[in-house]
This record gives sequence, structure tokens and C-alpha cells, in this order.
Amino acid sequence: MLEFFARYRNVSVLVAVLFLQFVLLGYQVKRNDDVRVLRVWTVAAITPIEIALKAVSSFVTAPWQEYVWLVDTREQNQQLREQVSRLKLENQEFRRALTRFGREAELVDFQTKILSESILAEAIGRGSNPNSKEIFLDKGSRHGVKSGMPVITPDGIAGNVQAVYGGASLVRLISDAHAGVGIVLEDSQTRGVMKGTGSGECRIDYVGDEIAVRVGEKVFTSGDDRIYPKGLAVGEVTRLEQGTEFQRIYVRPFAALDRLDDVLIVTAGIHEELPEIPRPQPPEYLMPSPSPSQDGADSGELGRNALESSQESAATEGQAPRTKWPVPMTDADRLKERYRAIGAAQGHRFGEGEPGTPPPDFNIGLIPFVGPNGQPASDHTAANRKPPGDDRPSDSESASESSIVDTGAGGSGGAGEAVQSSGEQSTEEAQSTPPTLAPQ
Amino acid sequence: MARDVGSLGPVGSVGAVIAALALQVYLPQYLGFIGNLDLPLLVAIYLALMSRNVIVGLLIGAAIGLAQDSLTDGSVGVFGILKTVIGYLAGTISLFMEVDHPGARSVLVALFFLIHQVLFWIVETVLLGNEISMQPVLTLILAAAHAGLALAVFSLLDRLKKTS
Repeated sequence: MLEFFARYRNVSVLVAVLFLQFVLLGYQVKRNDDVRVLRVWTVAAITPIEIALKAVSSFVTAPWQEYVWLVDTREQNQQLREQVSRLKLENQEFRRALTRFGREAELVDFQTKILSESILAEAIGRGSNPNSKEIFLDKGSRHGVKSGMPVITPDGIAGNVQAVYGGASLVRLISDAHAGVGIVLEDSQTRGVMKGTGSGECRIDYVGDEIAVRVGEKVFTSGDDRIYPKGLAVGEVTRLEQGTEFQRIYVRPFAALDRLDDVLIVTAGIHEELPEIPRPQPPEYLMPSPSPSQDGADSGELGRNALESSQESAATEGQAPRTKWPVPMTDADRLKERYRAIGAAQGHRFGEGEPGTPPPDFNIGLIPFVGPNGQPASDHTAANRKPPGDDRPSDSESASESSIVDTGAGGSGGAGEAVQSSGEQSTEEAQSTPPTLAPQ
Repeated sequence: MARDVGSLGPVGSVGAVIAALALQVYLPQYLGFIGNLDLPLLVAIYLALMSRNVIVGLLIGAAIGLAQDSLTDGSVGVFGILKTVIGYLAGTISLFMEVDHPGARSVLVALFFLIHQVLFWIVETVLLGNEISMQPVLTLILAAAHAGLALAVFSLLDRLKKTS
């Protein structure tokens, strides 16, 4: 050995000096992952050797261990099966615990959000009466629980304490047949009393038929019962039953009453504001705007043309044409139209005659307006006040039609068309023309 | 070996090394291009060549390199390794050829500078994982500059040796 170093003295010294400096360098420098370069170099130098040795040993021993020496395999297999079963059970327990912790965290979060003071409780049992909806909680008088205190969950109210014991309390759920809650409906702000039905849902009585209640409407506590603080979520309307005077409103509680686990007992209730939710608005119809190119005096034609143009534009744009609404006319429009027709029938031009010239006869062209009972109808305008889309003729319209038949004027147009009895207007056109000259 | 190094003397050798290191640190503040030159490398080559001994040469190189490392903010050992190798090569070559001729010195210095730069790149990129770019043209120019500068430095050191 010494001879080797003596023979290669220069190279040996070089290697030794370089080695020392490499060690010095590797000890100082760290990689990005905070590992010293010296360690990286060492591992990089050793690992390939280990891998090679492992490959060789596996090549030699694997056939023996995997195909020949299987004495303990069955026993190990049995042990592993048992271990897997045990671990599965543990996994399920951990999952349940995790879910439980999640619920408790949610409950604690809700507890910090509400204004009321409350204590956390856990449902430990059900009431012995199968027909009642009651649960036992693990908090009692020792924890400050008193009879009547409301019990709530983050989803909604659950019930109120009926009986208090040392370390437990009995809670009557809101779905119990004897339970009652003062509530307020979200949209109509109608107040009422919600009672349990003994089943999963609750019912609100004594809400008048005229109150508009919709399915899906939310129900909150009103605070009127002096038990539950105002503003807590209760449930939502699931169905309605109309009665002779009052309607029955069925409500599904938000709280999962049949599987309550962790709840809050409100020890000092404070009313809260109801959440502001945008209320649904009924649909609005926008009348077609009048065309500015038309003469303002001819309001009948004006409205008709506007309606037709809007229908044409709707058809052009690929939309379904709108329903033919009655042309909007005022009483002044009708009177003006009447005078114009009378003047045209007598060749009179308004505003051009000299003073003292006779006015036109305003009594011509009046259609005898006879009702079904033979009496003159007093107000024909009811025919014009039909709701949009109602094609059924009203009584006065029927009477008008009958009178028109009698006079032979044709159409429902009235006096104007009766005066111009030339039949220029078609029946279809006459139907779309407003009855402007009907008798007043 | 002892004859040549001794002629410069330990004090002269140490003084030359210290002067080279000081100038390497001081001059670039005023003359930026000096920063591209490696004066300690020239001194290490000179001392290794003049030592006529491989071990002395590599030890001289290692000492100068470690001293140079200590003046940088980098890892101690980089220049030590490089100059150890250069000292070893210079010491080895000095045994087989005449190194007093200025032309031979210039060629050796240029060659050693190229080897030095290649080793530097290898150490930085392969061993330390630092990404640095190799600039061949600049490296060749600097090799020529070192070869030219070596004539002056070696001549000065020769005079010191004769004086001592």
C-alpha cells in the first residue's frame, strides 16, 4: 500500500487535496431543497450501488421466496384479512367522528352568528310516546336549561323544552301534534300560528283565502309566541288547500327533525330581522307605442296602424305576433271620431262655415241601441273594457250586434260604419275597428 | 524545487500572492476589465512552474485558490480545486519542459486559463447545480489577454527572484 502511494505520490497527493476541498465545498453548499451537496453527492454515489446489489439479490432470492418458500403465506394472509376488517371498522368510526366534528363546527359557527345566547346540546334519545315527536337532550337544569326554552339548528327551529331534569331535558319538536309556533310568511308578511301534524310536516291555519301564498314561500318565526325569537327560519310552504273561508298551508320544516343530533338551546332569545329577499313581481304588458308619422287626430287609425306595424315587425323579427289588444282610445277620441263621421256624412267641414250657418245634424246615424230585454243600454263601453285576449262578446256587444243586424249597417263599428253603409270595410277589418260610434 | 522557489523566497512568494490577491480585489473598482483577469492564477502558474515539483505546485495552487475563495461570497473550495489542478499540471509540465522561455510561458498560461475556465464551468454546473453560460469567444480572448499579461507579470517576478 505504501509502495503504491510512494509510486504514485504526486497523484495521491492531488487526489487527497482535491478530496478535501470537495468535502469542504460539499459541506458548505446546499441545494434548493436545503440538502447539503455533500449529502447529495454521497447519496448519488451510493444509491446506484445499492440498487445494483438489490437487483442482484432479488434476482437470486425472488424465485425461492415467491414460489417455493410459502410456509407462512396462508397464516399471513389470514392475519392481513383480519387487519383489513379491523381497519375498515376503524375507518368508519373515524368517518363518523369526522362528520360529527363537521356538524359541531357548523353548529358553533351558527351559534356565533345569531344574536341569541345559546348552549350546545346533543340529542341522546327519543320520547317514549311513539305518537309524539319528542327528543331528550344531554343538557339539563345543571347547565342552565329551563322549561320553554327554544331549541334550534342552523337549518331552522326544532322545538322547545318541555321538561327539565338534572342532566337532561325533554324537547317537543315543532312537528308534534301539540306544538305551535308563531310564524310570519315571507312574501305576504302574514302572521299566523303553525301547528304540528304529528307527521313530518306542519300546518298553518286561519290564513284567509284572499292572502296570496305560493308554494316554496319561506316561513320564519314571528316572535309572537314569546318562545321563539323572531326571524329564525322555520320551513317552506309545500302545498296549499283552499277552504271556504281560510286556506290550509302545509309547511316542511327546514330542520331535519327525524335525525336531530346536535342542537342549540336558546337560553336568552333576541329577535332578529327577517332576511330581505326580493319579492316576485307580476308580469307587465307594454302597449305598442304610437307611430309618430300618423296624424294625431286620427287616433283610431293611429292605434290600429301602430298595432299592425308592431305585429308586422314582430313577424319580421321571427317572433310570434302579439295578441290583438283593444286599440287604446279615450272618450275624447271617440267623441271626435263620432263628430268627424257625422260631418263627413253631411258634407260638413268643421271650422270652415261662416257664423250663423247651420251646424250638422248630430242626431243622424245614431243606432238605436237596444239591449236583450228591449231596453236601451246605458253604457256600451263595457264592451271595450274586456280584459285583453277575451274574445267572448259581452252582453252589450251582443246587443249591439243584434241592433246592427236590425239596422242592416253590418259590423260592430257603430254609427260611423252605419252612416258609411257602402260596405267598404270588410268584416275582418270591421272587427279590428274599435266601436267608436256606439251610442252614448 | 527548493532551489527555484527558494530563490524567490517564501516571503517573496507570499508577497507575490498577496499582491495579486489585493490587486484582483482593488483594481476592478477603477478598471472594470481587470475583473475579467485572474491575477492569482498567473502567480499560481508562475510559482508552480518555478517550483519544478508537482506536489509543491498543487499545494501552491490549492493555497492560492482557497485564499481567492475566501475573498469571494461564493463557496470556499471552488477556486481551490481549480488552482490545485492547475498547480498540479504546471508542476508536472515544469519537470518535462523548459519553462523559462517567454513563448512557452505564454502558451502554457493560455492553455491553463482555458483548462481553468472549463473546470470552473464543470464545477459550477455539474457539482453545484448553478446555471452559468460558457462564452467561448470571450474565453479565448481572455486566454490571449492572460498570455500577454503573463509575459509582464512573469518578467516582474523573475526580476524579484534575481533580486532576492
